[in-house]
Amino acid sequence: MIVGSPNYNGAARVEAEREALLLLLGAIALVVVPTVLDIAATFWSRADDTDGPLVLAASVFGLWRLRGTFNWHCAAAIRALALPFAVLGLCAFVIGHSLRFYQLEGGGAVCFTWACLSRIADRPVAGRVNFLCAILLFVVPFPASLADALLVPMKLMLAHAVVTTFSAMGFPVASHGVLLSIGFDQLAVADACAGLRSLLSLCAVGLLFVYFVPSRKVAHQVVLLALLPVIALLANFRRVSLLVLITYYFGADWGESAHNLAGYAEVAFTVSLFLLLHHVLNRGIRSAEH
Amino acid sequence: MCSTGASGRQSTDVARSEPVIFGGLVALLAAGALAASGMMAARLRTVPASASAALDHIPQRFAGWRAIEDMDGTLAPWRFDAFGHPVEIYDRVVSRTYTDAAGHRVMLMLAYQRQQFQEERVHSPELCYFAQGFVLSARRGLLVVLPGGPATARGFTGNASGRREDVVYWIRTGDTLTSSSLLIRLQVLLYALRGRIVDGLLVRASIIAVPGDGLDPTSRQALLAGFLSALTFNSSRETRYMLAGPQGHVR
Repeated sequence: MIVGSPNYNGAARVEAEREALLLLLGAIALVVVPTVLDIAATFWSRADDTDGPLVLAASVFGLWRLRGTFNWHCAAAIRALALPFAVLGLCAFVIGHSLRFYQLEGGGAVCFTWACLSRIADRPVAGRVNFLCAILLFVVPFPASLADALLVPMKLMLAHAVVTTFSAMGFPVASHGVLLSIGFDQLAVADACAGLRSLLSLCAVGLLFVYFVPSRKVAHQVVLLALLPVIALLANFRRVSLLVLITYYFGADWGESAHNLAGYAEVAFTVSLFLLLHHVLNRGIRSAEH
Repeated sequence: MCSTGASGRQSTDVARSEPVIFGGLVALLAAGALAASGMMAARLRTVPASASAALDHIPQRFAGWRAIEDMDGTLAPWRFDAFGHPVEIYDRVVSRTYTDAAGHRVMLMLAYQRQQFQEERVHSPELCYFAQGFVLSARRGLLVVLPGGPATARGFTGNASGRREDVVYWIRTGDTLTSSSLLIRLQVLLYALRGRIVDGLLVRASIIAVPGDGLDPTSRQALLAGFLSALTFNSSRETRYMLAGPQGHVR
């Protein structure tokens, strides 16, 4: 090929941009992998937090699906802001990663990822990148002290609701705060802090649902989003009830091994409730159109 | 044609190099950040494991109080995994019951954690009682006289199905005494930024209301504050520091 021909220039540019893209992905991996490892070691090893990995996998999958659309023609404002935001994210990451301040570490890693991906997302894709990066924030653990203040009352309510329901049906169930006794066995309504995490990540699951199963009507999506917390609470109630039943009939050991399963079942339950709602709303729209 | 060709060529060169510069710079910065955080983490100093030995010398008798029951190592845990198993978050726990001539029974709980991080800290007993189904009232700050001068502790009353318990506590984080979660979080961060991973100790005294003891929450909490003050004054030098940090020493 002759040097200077437009063809060569084009090919070289494509090559250079591909290299730049690889550098960018490598940079993201350098920050995101240690962050995920930290969060996984501290939080995901607890039996209560099974939703974090699912939410992470779903948002990474969403970003992966955008890979064909990435190019270097982003909006001018992003072109100017990408580097400062990347540096800001890295500063938070350095402090968070070295001092085990997981919120700072996770927030910084998300900020950095957002800055890098925004630089290679042109206008139509930018919105999707923003949304998926916002979902990534749900993977960052909520600060325990804040979660406790918000969550313990909610957990107490949940424990009370489960006890009222089951003792009305004649089960030997009683509650002492967040601890439930079923016969001689005890069951905590999730670790005081992990529960809010699961509520929050169920909300993330709902948001991801709206992202992956888009609807033609805005009102339809608004209804789904408004019902999010209700569905999350219902899913939690169903999870605790299921564990109470398993513990009652098969003993605490069985309840323990069923616990992880119950976590995943909670996500499946949420998604199926959403699918059902989606279906019903779609039907409503269709019949209104006829 | 010639001139536009030249300038067009130049601009494509710039356009070609800009992504490479951005990608390279970002990758370099990310690698630098990872290295810097590793260096920062390696530089952190922690409290030696031998420090908790000061907890072996909590006085058994002092100022009219004597220990009648020792439950060292056990603790009414407030953090459970989903199956009611206690989650071990403390390195050392001292739990003892003391009594005085008037027959008051005060429970002392010291919970020690050698390394304080943002998500692994000594927790405030308010949450512990609340999560176990206690309704909290009479929450207030109270002054405790310590060798280094007066310090602020916190008191509250917990009520749960007929059981009424008054609690006074403070939390030592490194060299500071605090009782607010947010301030402890901030202290832990400030110490860590200066290269120190500090230790933390919960100092908690509680008394269960007995019918006919003639005490109201205020006087019960005053009794507890006096108990903690006397405990600190009558401890050895190392133990005073363990309990109250620099506040444990006369200035």
